[in-house]
Amino acid sequence: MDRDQILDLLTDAAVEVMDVDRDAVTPEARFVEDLNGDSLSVLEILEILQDKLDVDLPTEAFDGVGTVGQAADVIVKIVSERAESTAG
Amino acid sequence: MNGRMTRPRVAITGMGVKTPAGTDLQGFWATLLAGRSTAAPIRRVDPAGLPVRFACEVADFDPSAYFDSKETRRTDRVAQLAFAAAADALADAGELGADPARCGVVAAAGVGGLITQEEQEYNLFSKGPSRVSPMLVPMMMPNASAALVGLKLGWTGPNFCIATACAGGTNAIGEASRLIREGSSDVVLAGGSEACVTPIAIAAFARMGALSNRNDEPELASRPFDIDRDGFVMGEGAGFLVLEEWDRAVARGARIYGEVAGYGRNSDAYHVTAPAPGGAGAAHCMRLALADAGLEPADIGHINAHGTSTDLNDAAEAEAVVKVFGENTLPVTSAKGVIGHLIAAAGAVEAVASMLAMRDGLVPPTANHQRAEPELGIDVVAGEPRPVPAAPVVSNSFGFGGHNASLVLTPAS
Repeated sequence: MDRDQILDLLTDAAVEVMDVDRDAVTPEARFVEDLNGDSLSVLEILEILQDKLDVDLPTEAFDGVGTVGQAADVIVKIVSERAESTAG
Repeated sequence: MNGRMTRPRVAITGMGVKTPAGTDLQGFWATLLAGRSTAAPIRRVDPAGLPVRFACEVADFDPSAYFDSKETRRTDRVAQLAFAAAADALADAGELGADPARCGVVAAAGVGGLITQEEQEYNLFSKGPSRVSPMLVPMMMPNASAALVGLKLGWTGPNFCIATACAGGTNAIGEASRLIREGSSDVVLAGGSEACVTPIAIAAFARMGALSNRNDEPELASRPFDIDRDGFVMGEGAGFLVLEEWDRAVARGARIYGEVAGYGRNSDAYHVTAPAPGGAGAAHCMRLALADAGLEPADIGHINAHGTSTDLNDAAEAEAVVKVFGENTLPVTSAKGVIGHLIAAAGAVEAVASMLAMRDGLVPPTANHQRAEPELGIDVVAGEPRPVPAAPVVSNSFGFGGHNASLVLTPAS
């Protein structure tokens, strides 16, 4: 799964959780400042992605994450690490 | 001048319901007067495999009429029903013009956000702790409904949850009336909400033998005070009332349904689920409410009974009524034949029914009350609504834990 696919999933989840326009959810968009989010919104989005990807996304891994693109980067890393460990 | 004459009076100026019998006052009241049971096979979840497969559900509730999608995601059905009923009650009350710091919320909850809790426990056991929703705590906590109502309205006065099981709705109205009497609030939204038509609750209540198991005839299952009753029918829903200090309600020209004139509450201290022998606790509770209202048993026009349709409750409540009022002295009705048992919402929804009964001078019939049990010694209204003069009503609720609560509600005039 590549970064664009993860971004698509993040966008779907952000629209659902924060009730924002799809167009507003760019990689540069900040969850709290730009997207009507709060401290729990990112957790809710990660909850949706955990189910969609069937992978654990530990909250600690997202410390310091502020934008949609940064979240995508962390998820890509976790998903690829899991793919490697499964392959190994 | 004695203390009672100077005590602030508590007006009811708005009411809202989300019930299996209707999601507005008009529909709810029409279904109650028709005496038509709303019990049916469970639709929200697949009931296959459950020992009891029917309930009284709120079929036509659309949260999007009250919440945006973000709020809907973050609230359990129990809080959604609560706020919707509260918002309707507020709209019904008209422009309050009240200071938000003098506006309070008292909301009863039986089990809280059990639908969400059950879903998340499934996640915990099947997928692990990392899959438990970060929203579980604010969605399952029993005070979520009270909090949501205050939050959405911006009301910063007293705000709390009552947890006295099936007595909760009545306790909420009574305790709210105390906030007004003591002078700490001018307006209080009081009521209760419940949404536990869910497998764990159905299984649990069925295991203790509290539920009717007439799976083949759900519409005949809730039959308060009938000789063939075999348990209650699980219901869901919410009811809220706007309680307002009487003089301010008059001053703003509010339509006043009536008054919370008396409130009694006590405890059986006898058994965690069974009522005290002879309905002793319930009888004392009704006497406390009458004394609080400054009324005698003969002043009461009818009783809106707890009347759950369980063998023990109905027998004990009938004994209590006979102790206080004498045998067959006044009409008794139970809404639970129509709407089932709304647990913590029951007392609130039934207070609304009591106010409408006084307004129209009609006591609604007790659905499925086909064969009276003469030994009970009470006059249960059945078949058709019974015309009565506009006179005070006693509305009872009794909860597991031995909690008893009674209100004396009086007409506006």
